[in-house]
Amino acid sequence: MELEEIKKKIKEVSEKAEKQLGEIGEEEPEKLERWKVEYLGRKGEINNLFALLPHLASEERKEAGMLINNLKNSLTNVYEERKYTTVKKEKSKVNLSFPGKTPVTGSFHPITLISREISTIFTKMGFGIVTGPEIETDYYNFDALNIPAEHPSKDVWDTFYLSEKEKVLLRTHTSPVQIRVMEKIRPPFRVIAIGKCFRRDDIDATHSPVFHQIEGLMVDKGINFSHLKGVLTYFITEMFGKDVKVKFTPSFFPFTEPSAEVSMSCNICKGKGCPTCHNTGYIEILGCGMVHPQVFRNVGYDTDEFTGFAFGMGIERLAIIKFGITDIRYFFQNDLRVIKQFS
Amino acid sequence: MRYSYRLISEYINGLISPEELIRYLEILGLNPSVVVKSKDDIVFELETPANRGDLLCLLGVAREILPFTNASLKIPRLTFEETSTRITPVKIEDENDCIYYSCRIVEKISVEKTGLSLKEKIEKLGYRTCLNVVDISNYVMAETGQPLHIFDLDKIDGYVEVRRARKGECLVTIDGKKREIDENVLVIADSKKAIAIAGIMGGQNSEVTADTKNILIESAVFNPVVVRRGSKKIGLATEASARFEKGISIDTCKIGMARAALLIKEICRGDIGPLSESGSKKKFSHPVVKFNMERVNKLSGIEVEEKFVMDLLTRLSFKVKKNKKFFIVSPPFYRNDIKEDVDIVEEILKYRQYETIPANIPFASIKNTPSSPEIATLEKIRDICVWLGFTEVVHMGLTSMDNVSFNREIIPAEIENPISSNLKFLRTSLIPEILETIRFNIYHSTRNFNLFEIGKVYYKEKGSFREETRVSFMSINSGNFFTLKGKIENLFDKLHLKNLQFKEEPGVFATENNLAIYLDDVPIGNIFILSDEIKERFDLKREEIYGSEINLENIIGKVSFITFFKEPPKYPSSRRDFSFFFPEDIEWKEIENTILSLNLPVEKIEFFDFYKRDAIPNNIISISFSVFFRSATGTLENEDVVKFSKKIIETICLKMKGQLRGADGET
Repeated sequence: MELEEIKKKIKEVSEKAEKQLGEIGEEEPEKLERWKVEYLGRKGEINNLFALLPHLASEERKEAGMLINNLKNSLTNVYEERKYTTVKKEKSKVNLSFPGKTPVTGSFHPITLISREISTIFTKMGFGIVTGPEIETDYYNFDALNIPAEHPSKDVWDTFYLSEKEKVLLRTHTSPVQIRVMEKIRPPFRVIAIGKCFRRDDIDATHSPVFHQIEGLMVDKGINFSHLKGVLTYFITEMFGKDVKVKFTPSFFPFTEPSAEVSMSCNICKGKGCPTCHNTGYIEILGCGMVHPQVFRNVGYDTDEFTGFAFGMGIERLAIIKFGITDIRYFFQNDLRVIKQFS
Repeated sequence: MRYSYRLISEYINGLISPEELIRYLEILGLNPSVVVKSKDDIVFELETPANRGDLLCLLGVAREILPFTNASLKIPRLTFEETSTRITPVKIEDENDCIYYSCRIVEKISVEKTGLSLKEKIEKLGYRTCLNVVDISNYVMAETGQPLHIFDLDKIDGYVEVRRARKGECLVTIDGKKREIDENVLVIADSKKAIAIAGIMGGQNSEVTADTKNILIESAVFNPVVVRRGSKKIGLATEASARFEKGISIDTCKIGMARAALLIKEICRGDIGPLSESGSKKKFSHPVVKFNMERVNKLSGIEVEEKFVMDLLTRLSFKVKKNKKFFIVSPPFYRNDIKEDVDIVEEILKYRQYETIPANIPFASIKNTPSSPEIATLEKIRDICVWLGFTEVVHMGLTSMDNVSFNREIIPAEIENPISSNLKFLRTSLIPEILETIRFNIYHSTRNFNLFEIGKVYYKEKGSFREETRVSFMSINSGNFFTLKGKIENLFDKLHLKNLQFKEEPGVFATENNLAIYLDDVPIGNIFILSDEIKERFDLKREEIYGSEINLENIIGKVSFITFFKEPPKYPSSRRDFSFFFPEDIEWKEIENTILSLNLPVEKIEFFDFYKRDAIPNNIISISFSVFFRSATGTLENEDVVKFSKKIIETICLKMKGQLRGADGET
């Protein structure tokens, strides 16, 4: 084989390669790859050219080899350059019908949600939020609140004792916080206290030995029963909507006088009567009253100067009414299928 | 107790309809609930307040609704003729225990089954009908509120005494149960034996039977506290004890006795003997309550007419006097709940009706009402926990002995009167209850989740009870230990708590893989890989669980939510990635401190990978991290960054026995 013949072949391959490369579009990377195999591959045109070299004399072989090598380098360079610009564009149409990916999120417990809703309403009215211990003494839980020892009026608060001898117990309501606040500060003030309470009740659909309460107390000169009605009516309509009817009826608590029980029209049957409201159309939601003068005397307040009102309500009960939860046990079972509903 | 419209109407002169009666009771807050409604009657129950024992009778309810009507009270007949002179002597051991005791003999009575008209009444009241004498005593209690007892006179030896039971004494009560009684229990006894538990239940040994010929009627006033203690002691509460505990006046006691004697004479015939009595001869001392209209209006927020108050209290049988400014009133004998002016105000508002009082928003002084400082912090932490993907759980905090036995150094608080053994202790950690919740959710096919709880734990220390607020985290089949650690670091970061240290120490829930958290050198909690042993205990063997518990008491005062604005950097940063081989037990903090000690313009060091592969020799791990360089005064030149990197590589290789695996990257 002649050197010229090989040179001619090299030129042919070079021209063909360039021509073909020119025909490859910018969005045809697969064609570019095929082109690479055809020329630069193991059985490609370049290697075919190299295969011809043994037919030449040694001087000619050197020259031809250099030419083929140059061609190989230039094709490789061209390929590398083109590789970056020849990219398959994504198809612009995407099937959007598939469901989105569920994000991992946290949720608040319904007790937190209700507590926050309640505190927001009261803090809007200028109430502060205070706390008190869960392990209490007989004095704060009962005596200071004018709850007589060894009287049937104490029966509603069936108590867990940590030490009956030392009069240490688990608070049965958040009311002892009232006393602790009043021992520390002078009126005027308005506060709410939120927290866990304990009563010796067996567990069933409506009773739990542990539950949460919100307590409220407002003391100032000139606070009266109509203010109690005003503040609590505002609270209930904020919480349950303007259409709810609110009813105040007489009740009895040793630490308030006059005392009242507040009910609202049943939000499940809209007042028509259903099992939740025992067919009365109304559900009891909280107890309240004007602070008993004996309670004021116990903390050294002048009963002629100051009057005030107090109220207390069960958070689980409110959550049951608000969310339609059917059983108080759900609150402490912590079934994520339940909690996650309220995020 | 049960009440009936017809039976109440017997004590009212005038006509009210059943609907009116029910409505009045509703207005008064007594929440009537109808039990039986028939053509001509309604039987209902009431929720009577604990301080209103006087409402536990038909007469009491009639008295209570009168002010709504023009009707008057029809007081039942109380007079009868004594036709015998026989008496049983009465002794009271201690007048503190028994304020007043009276009894009366009725001889030669005919004990029979109760006749139709009384039987009907008794059944409406919800009692089982029985012998006429017994039914009469029940009816009189329902009518007047006075519990009575009737003994078979022929079974009593000599006299009747009210005394404390003696140690080791026993009595079979009429319900057939043998009661062990002691000096805490008050009894009625004859010269030889106890014959009744005072105010609670009679004894079988003196019970009236169909063969009874002569009876002794008892009507007494026992000390409410003594009856209450006795009732608790022997575990027996009756309609009688419930009334005594609320307090009964001697006047009621006398009315009850008269009614019983009269009805027995009418129905069972026989000869009534004279009253035998002992104890307080004093009449009920009427408390005097002084108030003025100003006080009424100040408490109620409405203008109440003086005439309304005057009429109401008169209709309620209060004695009312009025001078220029003040009302001076005293309640009727049965109202032991009226003690001071506010009690009168409640009466006024009840009958004025709560519904008619307007709802007003108070004009209140604007004064910064103090909130407890921890509230804001705890709520912020709760928010951050949820942002970090944790779901909140809330547990009772009452738990079993097993669940408080993880940490032997803590003395748990124990409930003396628990409702069950698995709710006998107060939790000493939030973790065990959360582990039970994890198991519950895994059983219900929720497999990957993150939980947190903020709540109190309790323990005994130096003889007193303590409570402590904590937060706990649990990560279940979601990421690895460092996922949880990262979240907790992020929490502390958001709370602006800086001086934090982690130290490997054995913990309660992981002996091996436990990291103690220190804040300002005080231990505040742990992050751990839950030990296999505890996993097994909670049947969670197959789950990957990481946990953490942090005491918030020391944190609350140190948390800050104040953020000062920082100008964003003006000049770009340069990043270099490094990979080194290190001995397996290398402490990351050491690497960080070594680099920081070089005083280079290092903005931050970010760890991003570590691995240990078969190809790498034993006891050696590969650690990769990025270092960000930034100068506040200008853009860093490439040569500078190369110089800094070299310095880092040199130092680490020289000082820390690190071996360079690779370094590159530029930003």
